[in-house]
Amino acid sequence: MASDKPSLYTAWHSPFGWRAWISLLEKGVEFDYHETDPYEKSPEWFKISPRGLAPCIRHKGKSVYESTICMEYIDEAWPCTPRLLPEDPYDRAYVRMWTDHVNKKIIPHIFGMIVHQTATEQEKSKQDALDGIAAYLEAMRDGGPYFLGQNFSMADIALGTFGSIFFCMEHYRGFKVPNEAKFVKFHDWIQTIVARKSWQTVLPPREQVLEDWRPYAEGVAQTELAKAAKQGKTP
Amino acid sequence: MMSDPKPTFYTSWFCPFAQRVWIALLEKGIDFEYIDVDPFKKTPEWLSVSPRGLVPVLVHQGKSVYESSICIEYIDEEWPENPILPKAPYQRAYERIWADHIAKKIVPPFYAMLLKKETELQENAKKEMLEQLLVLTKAMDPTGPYFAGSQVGLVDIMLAPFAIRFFILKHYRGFQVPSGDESPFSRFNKWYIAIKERDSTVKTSASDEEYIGIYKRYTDDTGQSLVATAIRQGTALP
Repeated sequence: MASDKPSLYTAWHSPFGWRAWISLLEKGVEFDYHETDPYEKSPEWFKISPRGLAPCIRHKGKSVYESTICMEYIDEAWPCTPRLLPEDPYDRAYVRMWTDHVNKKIIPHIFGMIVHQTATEQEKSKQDALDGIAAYLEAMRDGGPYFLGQNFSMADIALGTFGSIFFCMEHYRGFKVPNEAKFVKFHDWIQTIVARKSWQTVLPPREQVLEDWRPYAEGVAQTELAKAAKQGKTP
Repeated sequence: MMSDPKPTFYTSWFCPFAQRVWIALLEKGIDFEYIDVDPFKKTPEWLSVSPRGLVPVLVHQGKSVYESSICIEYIDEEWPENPILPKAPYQRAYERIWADHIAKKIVPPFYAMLLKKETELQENAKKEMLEQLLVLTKAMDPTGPYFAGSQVGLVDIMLAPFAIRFFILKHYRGFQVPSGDESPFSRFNKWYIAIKERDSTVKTSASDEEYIGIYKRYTDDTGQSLVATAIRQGTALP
């Protein structure tokens, strides 16, 4: 019988997965957590997630996948506070545009700098990531500490999941968000984000994160993620 | 500042992404101002309206909305009559999932088929296109004729401009969706007939000759759009 209690199928190490996980935690929704390896393409897995993608939420017999779509679904299925998208149609569009910006103009370069094996390509990815981050910071509304100002939203989750493991990009590629001029806002913002209980729940220990990214940094990962990342795409 | 209830729609007549938003505006019966721009001329004025320099952009009450799916959701939420998205959260997620499928799995082979010079890569694109169209077809409401049933919705609007350009793929690359009642694509063809004759599709489409002409530059590798560049480089579409 289809259950009202959602199940989250996700991998502990996936920042995309953390987006859905954090959203459920923020809403105070009771859910079942299923540790998942989305690269194990079993028939059972495709029954749960038809395109084989994680994170995937199973709720009332249906599957929702794609991390951004999961965040919107969670906000609409459980419309309690905190709202992940605001009420006003333009503000909602604003959150969606800047979430889209994170997905297209920042995340691919975060993967790119790790997955690319030549210094030239790595440097280009680092610069592209910084350009994307600078634009996001400029779009941040005044009155902080969140992207929309006073109110937490999906735009914070979109970047804040990856932003919380930038130490990993620094470790492997010397990537740092500068602490001056147009980047100053980043550090206050990420500190506030990471201090949230939901982030503290999902973030694995530093060493585990570093170990998880090692095969990608050393060019030996064979996953779809690695292949896609080399092409500047993320699944 | 004067209140500005009428949105301004910035578009280029040949752009399938912009056509999506145009269709949505017509479906909603919204009164809007239509401005055709040349998105290849990145003037400061244009970039102040459209930070990415791309069409479509909708400007309403002094603020810009861009990205076709985001424009459509904005239109749906700002003008709630004649809804484009359903009310129930799962139905909404379903529409978004299949709109995302179109963006990631159908649009790229559309362009790859035209832009790639090697026959093998063109053939791969054709194969990919048919596979992904079949996946989408299986997700359609069995009765239809539209994706989710009797009402036009987000997925229909996201796919329509590309589907009505399939004849270009036939013209330049010999690509065709199999026909016939027994074909696994018969449900897709039923969808196509319904969407093609819909008023909003007819009013927003140019002539066959105009489309054939404008897409020639993709096939002879002179296309300068960000989409063309991305396909050539094998990176994600903007």
